[in-house]
This record gives sequence, C-alpha cells and structure tokens, in this order.
Amino acid sequence: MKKLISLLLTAAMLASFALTGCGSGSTETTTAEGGQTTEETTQEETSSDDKKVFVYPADQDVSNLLPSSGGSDSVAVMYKPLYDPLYIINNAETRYYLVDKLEVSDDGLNIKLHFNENAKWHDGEPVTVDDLLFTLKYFTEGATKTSTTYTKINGEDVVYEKVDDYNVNITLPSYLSKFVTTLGRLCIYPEHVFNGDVTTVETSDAAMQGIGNGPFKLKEWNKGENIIYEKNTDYYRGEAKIDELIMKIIPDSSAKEVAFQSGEVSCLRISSKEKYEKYSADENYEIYDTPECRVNYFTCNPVSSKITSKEAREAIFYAINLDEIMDTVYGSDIMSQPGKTVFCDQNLYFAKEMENYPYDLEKAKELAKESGLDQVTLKYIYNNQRVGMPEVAIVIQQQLKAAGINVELQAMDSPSFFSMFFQWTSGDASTEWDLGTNGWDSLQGDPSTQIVMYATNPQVTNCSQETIDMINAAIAEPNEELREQKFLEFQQLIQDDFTIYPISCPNYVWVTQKGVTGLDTINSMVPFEDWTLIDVA
Amino acid sequence: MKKFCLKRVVESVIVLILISFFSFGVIELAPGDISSMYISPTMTEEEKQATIEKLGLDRSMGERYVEWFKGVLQGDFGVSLSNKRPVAEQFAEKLPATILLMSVSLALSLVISIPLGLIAGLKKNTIIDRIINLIAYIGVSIPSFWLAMVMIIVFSLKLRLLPSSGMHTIGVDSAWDTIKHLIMPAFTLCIGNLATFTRYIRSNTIGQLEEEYVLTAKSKGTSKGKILFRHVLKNCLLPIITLIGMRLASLVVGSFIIESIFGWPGLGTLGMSAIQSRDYPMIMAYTMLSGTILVLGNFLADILYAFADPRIKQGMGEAHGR
Amino acid sequence: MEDKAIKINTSNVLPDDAFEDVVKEKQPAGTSYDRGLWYDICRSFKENKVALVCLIILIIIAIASLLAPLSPYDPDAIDATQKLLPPSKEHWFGTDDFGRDYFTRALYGGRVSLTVGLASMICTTIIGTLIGTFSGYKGGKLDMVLMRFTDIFLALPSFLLMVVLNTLFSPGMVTLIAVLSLFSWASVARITRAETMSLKQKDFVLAAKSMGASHTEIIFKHIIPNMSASIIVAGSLGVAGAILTESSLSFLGLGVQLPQSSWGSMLQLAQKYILDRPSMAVFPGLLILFTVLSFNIIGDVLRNALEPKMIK
Repeated sequence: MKKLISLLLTAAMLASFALTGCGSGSTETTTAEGGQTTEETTQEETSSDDKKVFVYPADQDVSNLLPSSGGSDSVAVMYKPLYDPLYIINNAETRYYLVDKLEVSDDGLNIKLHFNENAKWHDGEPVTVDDLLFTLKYFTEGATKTSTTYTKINGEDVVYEKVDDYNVNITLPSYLSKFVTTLGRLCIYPEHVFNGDVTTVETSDAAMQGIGNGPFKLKEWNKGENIIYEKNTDYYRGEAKIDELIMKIIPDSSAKEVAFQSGEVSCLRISSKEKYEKYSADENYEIYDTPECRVNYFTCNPVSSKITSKEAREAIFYAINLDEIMDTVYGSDIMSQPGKTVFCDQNLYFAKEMENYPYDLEKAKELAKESGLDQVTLKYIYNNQRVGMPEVAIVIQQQLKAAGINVELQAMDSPSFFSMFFQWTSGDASTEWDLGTNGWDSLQGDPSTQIVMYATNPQVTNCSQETIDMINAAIAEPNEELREQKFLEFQQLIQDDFTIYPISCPNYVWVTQKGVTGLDTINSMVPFEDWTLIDVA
Repeated sequence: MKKFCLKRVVESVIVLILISFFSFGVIELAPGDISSMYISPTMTEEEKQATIEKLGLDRSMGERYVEWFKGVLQGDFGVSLSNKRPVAEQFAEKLPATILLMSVSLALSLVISIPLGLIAGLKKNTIIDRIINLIAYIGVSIPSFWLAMVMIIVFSLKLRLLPSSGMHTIGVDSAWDTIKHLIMPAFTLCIGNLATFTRYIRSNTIGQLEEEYVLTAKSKGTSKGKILFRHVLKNCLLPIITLIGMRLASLVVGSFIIESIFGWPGLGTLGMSAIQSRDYPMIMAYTMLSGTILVLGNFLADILYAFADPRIKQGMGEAHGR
Repeated sequence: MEDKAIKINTSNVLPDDAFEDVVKEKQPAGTSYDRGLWYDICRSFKENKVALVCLIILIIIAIASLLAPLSPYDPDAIDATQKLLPPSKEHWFGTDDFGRDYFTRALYGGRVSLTVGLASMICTTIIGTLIGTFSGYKGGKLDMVLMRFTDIFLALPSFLLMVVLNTLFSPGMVTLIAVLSLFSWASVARITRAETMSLKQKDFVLAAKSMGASHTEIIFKHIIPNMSASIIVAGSLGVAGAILTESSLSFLGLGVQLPQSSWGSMLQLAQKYILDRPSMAVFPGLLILFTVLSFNIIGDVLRNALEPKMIK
C-alpha cells in the first residue's frame, strides 16, 4: 500500500509538471504587468516607457518588402510605412508626397512632375527621376511584367522625358482621365539598390531589406511573427510622431481582438454594429472611422443562360431591400453607407443626388413570373474572405426567395472567386454563375480605373451602347466641366441598364487604445496613407 | 533481419513515388484553369502568353511531373508562385517553430499519459480507472479548435494569464516568454495524443501484469513499484515508440488549424495560406513533405520494433506501425 | 490512428464468464448468428450504464434533428430586430447575428453533421469491407497490390489532403462525404482483410466451399456476415471520426453551403462573436463533443462485447 502511495505521488508529480509550468508562468505574467520583476522585463519596461510604440495587428506576413509585392490590402498595409506614393488625388484635394509639384496642361496631354528635393532613400541616397524611370522599366521589362498602366494608353506609348534629376515631363498619346490619379499612387523602387538591374529585383537581397523612402524604416523582421519599423529621423516631410511601428501578425480574427483587449496591439478593425456599440461605450477605447473608398456591388452575369432579359434583371433588383441589408449586415451607417451609384462619395464626379433602385416586392414577383425566373434556381457566387460578403449573400438569398426566385449560394475563397468571376480576362466569361457580389476598390479621385473595363465589356455587364459611348467619351474628355457632366450622365445611364446594383460603401472602423490619435485625419483605402500623423499617448 | 529491412525500404520507396503522383495529380485535376489566377485583366496577349510559359503550363503534364520530381529529389521544390522565393527556403524558415511546438506537445502528452496509463492499468475497473478512461474518451472526442477557442477566452481574456497568440512578446527574448506562449497551443495539440497514449499504456500495463515474468517477480517478493517501472513500463515503451513514429509527420507538418488560431509562426500557418492563395508549388511540397515524413516515421517505427522484438521478422511487421 | 489505440485496449468491462457465453452462442455459425449479435449488443448496453446513457443521448439528438421542422422558426429567416439575443424562453439558445433562432439552427445543423457522419461511414464501410474482404479472400498478388494501395492511403497526410481537395473542388455536402470516405476506408480494409484471412480457414467456410458454393456466395453469405461485429464497431468509431473531421473542415469554411449550417460551421460563425457571446460557441461545441463521445464509447463497448468471438 505504501508503495502504491509513493507511486501515486511520483505519478502526480510527473503529471503536475505541466501544471506547475502554468502556475509559475502566470505569476510571472501578472507581476510583469506591474512592471517590477526580473531584470529583463524591467529593462524592457523602462526602455519602452520613453518610446512611443504603435502595434498594428496584421493578417499575414509578407514574403518580401517590395512596394508592389501584393495587391491585397493585408499585404499593402505591411509595406506602406516604408514607401511613399508620388501624390494622392481624392475628390477634395491633392496631397503631395515624393512629388511636390504637379502641373497638367489644359488639354491634359502634358504632365510635369517635380520631385521633392529633400526626399531620400533610407540609405541616404536622394530620390530622383531615375528611380521613377527604373520602376517603369521594371514594370515592363522585369521578371514579372506586372503592368503597362503607366506606359501605354490605348496601345500607344506614354513618353517620359527626364529634364534633370528632379523634373520629368510626361506626354500622353491621347487623353485618359484616370491617368493622373493612377500615376500618383505609384510607389517607386530605388534604382541604385538594385544596381539598375530590373530582372533580379524580386530575387535580390534588397527585396527583403525594404529600403524605401517613407517615414519608417525596417529595424527587424521576425518572419511569421512581426515586422518592426523604426522612425526615419531623416524623413523629408518631418519625423513621425511614433518611434516604433510594429506589424504583429495575428491571422485569426478573434485572437486579434483578444490581443487588443489585453493591450498587446494598439488598434483593431471592427465590422459589426454590436462591437461598435460595445467599444464606444467603454471609455478605455477610442473609435475612428474613415471611408474605405470601395463600392460593394451586386451583379447579374450577362452571359448567364438563366437571366436573359432585362425584365429578369429588374425582377431581381426590385426584390432587393437595401435597407434590410444595411440593417442586418452593417447595423449602422458608421459601419457602411448604403450604395447609391456605381461610384462612392470619395470619388470625383460622384452623383450625390441620385437614389438607388427602389424596393418593390410586388413588381419583382410579377416580373419574375413574366421572365420565368420563378422556374429556375440561380447560382450566386461570393468571396467568403471579404468582410460582409457572406452576410450580404445570405440576406439577398432570403429576399429573392420572398419574390419567388430561388437562389443557391456558393462560397468561394479569393483565388477561386476571382478566377471564376473574372474568367473573361483569360478567355470567355464563365457561365457557371448567375449572380455575384464583388467590390471596386481604390475609388479615390478619378473613378474610371476599373469602371471602364467593366462597363464596356458585354461579357461583364449588360450596358447599353449609349452607356458605353458615354463612359468612353467621359474618360477622353479633357475639359473638367464637360467631363463631370458626362460622368454624371453615365451614372444615370448605367443605373437604367439594371446591370449593377451598388450595395454598400463600407468604412474602416477602428477601435484604438485610449490616447491613440491621428487615425481619422486622412481618408485612405489601405491603412494608413500617412503614418506620420498617428500618435500614441 | 536484413531482408526485412530491405523489404520495408523497397515498400517505402514505392509508397513515396505514389505519394508524389498523388501530390502532383491532385493539383492537376483541380477544376478551373490554373493560369487564370495569374493573368490580370490589364495584360496584353503577349504578357498572358509569357505568364503561361513561365508557369510551364504550355507543356504536357508528364513533362512537368518529371521536371518537378527531379527537382524534389535534389531538395528543390520550385519557386512559390505568390512571392517567387524558393519553397524550400520558406519551409526551412518556419520549421524550427513547428518542431519546437510539436516536440513540446509530444513530450507533454508522454509526461502526462505515462502516469495516468500506469495508474489506470494498475487500478483497473476502479473508480480512478473509470475517471481516467473518461478523460481519455473526452480527449479523442473534443474538437481541438474548439478547445483552443475556449482556452483563449479563459486563460487570455478572462484570467489574463497567458498570451493569446504568437511565439514571443515583442522586444522580450527570454525562455520564459516563449514557454508562456507555448503552453496553450502545446496543450491543445497534446490532448489527442494524450488520450491515445493513456489508453495504450493502460491496456499494456494490464497485459503485462498478467505475464508470467511479472507473476514470478511478484512471487519472489519484488516490490510493485519496481515491477511497474522495470518491467511493465519498459515493455510499454515499445508500442509508444511506434506511436511516436506515426506522429512524426504531424510533428513536422504541424496542425494548420491550431497554429493559425494561436498565430504560431510555423509550417501550419504557412500551409494554410498556401492553400488559400492556391500556391501550387507550395501545396505540392507540403503534401510531399508530410507524406515523406509519415512514411519515414512508419518505417523507423517498424525497424525499431523489429530490432527490439526479434519475434517480428517477416510479415509480422505489417501488423504494427500502421 | 485513434481506432488503433482503442483496438489494442482489450478492456475488462465484461465479467470473465461472458466469454464462455459468447462462445456458446456462436454455434452454429451462419444462420442463427444474427440473433446472437443483437443479443450481445443489447446485453452490453444493459450491463454498461455509461453506454446506455450515450445511446440515449444519441437517440435524443437524432430524434431532435429529425423533428427540426416542427420548430416554430424558419432556420434561414432573417430578422434584423432580433440579432444576437441571449438564450431566453422564446429562443432557447438565443439568436445569431441574422436574428435566426440558434436552437433551430443547431437542430438543422445536427441533421447535416449526422448525415455527413453516417453517410461517409456507410461509404467507408462498404468500400473498406469490399476491398478488404476481396483482398483477403483472393490472397496472392492481388492481395499484395491492394494492400500496398491501402498502405498508401494510410500513409497519406489525410487531413491536409482533405483540406486541399475541399478547397479545390467546390465545397458542399457531397464533396464532404466523398472526401471523408476517400481517406478513411483504408483502415476498415485492413481490419476486414485480417478477419477474412482467418475466417476463410474456418470449418464452416470450408464446408460451404466443399458443398459447391460460389466465391460470391461465400463472401457475401458466410464471410461478411461473420464480420458484422467488427464492421459495426468500425462503423461506430468511423461516425465519431467523420463528425469530428467534418467539424474541423466546416470550421475552416469548407463545409456545406450557406445558409445551411453544420455544427462545425456554426462554430466558425461563433468565432466572430466569441468574446461577446461565448454561448454561441458553447452550444455547437458541446453538441459535437457529446455526439462524438457517445459514438466513441458505444463503439468501444461494442468492441469489448463482440470481439471475443473473433479471437477463437
């Protein structure tokens, strides 16, 4: 019996090994919070006391620190602090970064840029026109050949003429309204760092070092865990207010929130009214919201075999009750504004006065019967990795059901969604789906970046010839007033076509720890356009 | 013995080659056009063509398989489609974190399950045995991601004892800190193993206690503790080794769900994002790697078993290690 | 892997004389066998109160899921005014973020989870038994080839491939069942093969053979019925495994299509609100736990009750 007891004791000791670990671990943590335990922690506490640190909860790590390494917001947010754009145009103003002077001729064909002469790369070299030219060369001749947006208009070359190190003249072969807006967002690559060689940009060591021109420079990169940026003290627009910016990688959304509540991260994006109410009631936090400059829209596949007539599209659009969508999915207009037109209110030429499609269930039922929609089951595809998209789909499905239209939902992750939704880019459009929701982003400034591509392609939208002519005329119209007129008319025309139903213009709503400021000073699609404005108490 | 080893080697190689077919084939058979994910609307015809050529999609499946497999043999898994960096390099970066997590969870499950199993076996059919048994049942039945969620709420949010995610507190570089980060993911991952090991040890203990040598030892007056630790435990270790061999794959490849929930910077998180972004070379490498380790683990377990227990030579080995 | 460990666990739930009874019951094999099997099953439930409790839990969950349409709520009806309510008399489990009754959704979710679990178990068992029996009965080269094939499936990183396959092919109930079955038949095949190997040496099989019974007849009339005990056990554990795996896949968003839900996908949704409304995660989590636990315990108890037959 004694032996047995001793055995049990040994076993219990072994078993409690882990538990002891937990126990002492916990005391460690609690005291560390008080700020007075082991030397290590004390040192850390004191050193971070006089240092202002902002911790951003990032979705994923990046694989390199090149400015165009990825298109998605969760990637772009990682390199943004390192690289400044040339300038940013939105509906209200033009904000200058690397370029401090922008002149556009009256006919819109000549653009003069002057680079800020104080702008320097993180290694001390000045930012010059050569870097811009190198970047364009990289886009057209580099290993990936990413884009010709900046170098060709309607198949003809855009000419970049270097005047001196800081001045460049750009001549367009024909007028394109979006060009100036798009050019401004460009983040350029340092030519000297890559030794002028465009073919090895991605594979060079420099791709990992992130030598940029922004307010922060790379201090430390713990792959998969965090990227630590420190303030660039030699920054041409004046030093940032915070000393260190940490991108902490937390893929899971509830883990992000836990980290936020325990003070491990400085801000958190929230996406429901319930959370908004919870945090705004708590005085330990502050709330900021900025427009995301995105229009989420609903569309019918023009090549669908089931939706063949305009009546069918009208039936669907009249069955949609936007108020209910906004109530259920977003809950309040702090989370998102309801969609009005195919543009959002951050765009140039946004038609403020326009109203969205009305909700008319009876008419929808009638039209559905007439067009035979009540006999078929429509397939609705959506991107389940986008905030709000699954919820919108669920609500629309129920609403269409009320109008006698059966819908079957198909959730897809980003890559498969885009490959099906945009199958027309690599051949014929997919006929496998009937309804879909997607979003247009980067809708600051001139909105035509994406709209033209969609509106003018009969495989993508059901626009009438009149609508197509109007948008083509609008983007080629150098006269500001006439252009605005045409864009406004276009918004009305495309609404009459019943091809795109604008659902929502969501906001970025941020909760921050008390004392964090500056999140609302700029409207920006990718958080945040200007990191220098952000401060912590 | 030699013959048995040789036979197992040949078998393993065949299985590996078939796994390589599988890894390659799954991706090829996927519906949809792979190239459409890499072609953007703004590209010209030539650019599209160049992209297709670069992806090698203009060549036949056989050609691509041979080329891929040649590379794999030399440790070259190709270049990740999403970021153009070598796949092997990215795996190597994440490997240490995963190995740390997995070996700690394995160790933890052994440390807990051995005493539990011994006690349960020793006190079979008593209330203690029943309780331990129930714990084991719950261990194999609980959804691990759910347990992870519950633990985060309890320990990170309510009690504020443990950090919810990551591997280090930023700026702190101490072993304690890492241990604190390790506790929850390691415990969540060990639950399944723990249950399996405990029941294994329990039944072995019962079996061993009825063996003649134990009865002899008992009659000679050897203490029960000695019998347990000298004989019974020793004989239990063998099947445990086999089990560990089988767990080797999970040890290296990790558990995506748990790693993602806890933000552990390991292979699981990497694999999850590779799948979500359809990074085919990465996914192929991932299945190939885990298959290889699984086969290797089984192989080693069999060989070890055969060495330790000479009764198993030919054929019999099949009954084990699977 | 789980079944392996459980299999080795030759537990001692049964009293020692149970074994004798069982041996007596077994004669003569073949015809009167069925009654014996059911007799044993009933007996083991009578003797093991835990198993009985588990069975009752399962029956309750199954009946509740079947009767889901009796609920006054439409599981998909959206009501923005009733969002995220706590559990109450009207809404036993509260409501979710669309104002849908969570209890009703849990019932419908149970239908999906149980259907996927049972259907993939049935597929798994059929495929596994056929391959295993055929392989064991024929022996020789065919057996070797089939068993290597089985080995490959056992050596594959199954969960990883399930995730990959479910991602590449559009997720849904059919995909789920197919993928789950594809990666779990192999262990059933191994068990049935081993049993066939021993059964085909048995007197009654040899006798049937000498009386001129065809191979198909022997396999389907004599061998497979005599393995039913093992098959039932494997099936019970198989359901447990399938439900658990299904919940993991659904948690990753690879389950049934919205607005349908399973317990796993309810947990995925609950994760979003886990800090504010933990009860949303608790209910489906407990349902999964109880269901899987019950199937596991029943499977184990059945094994202990039925398997001694197979030893001699």
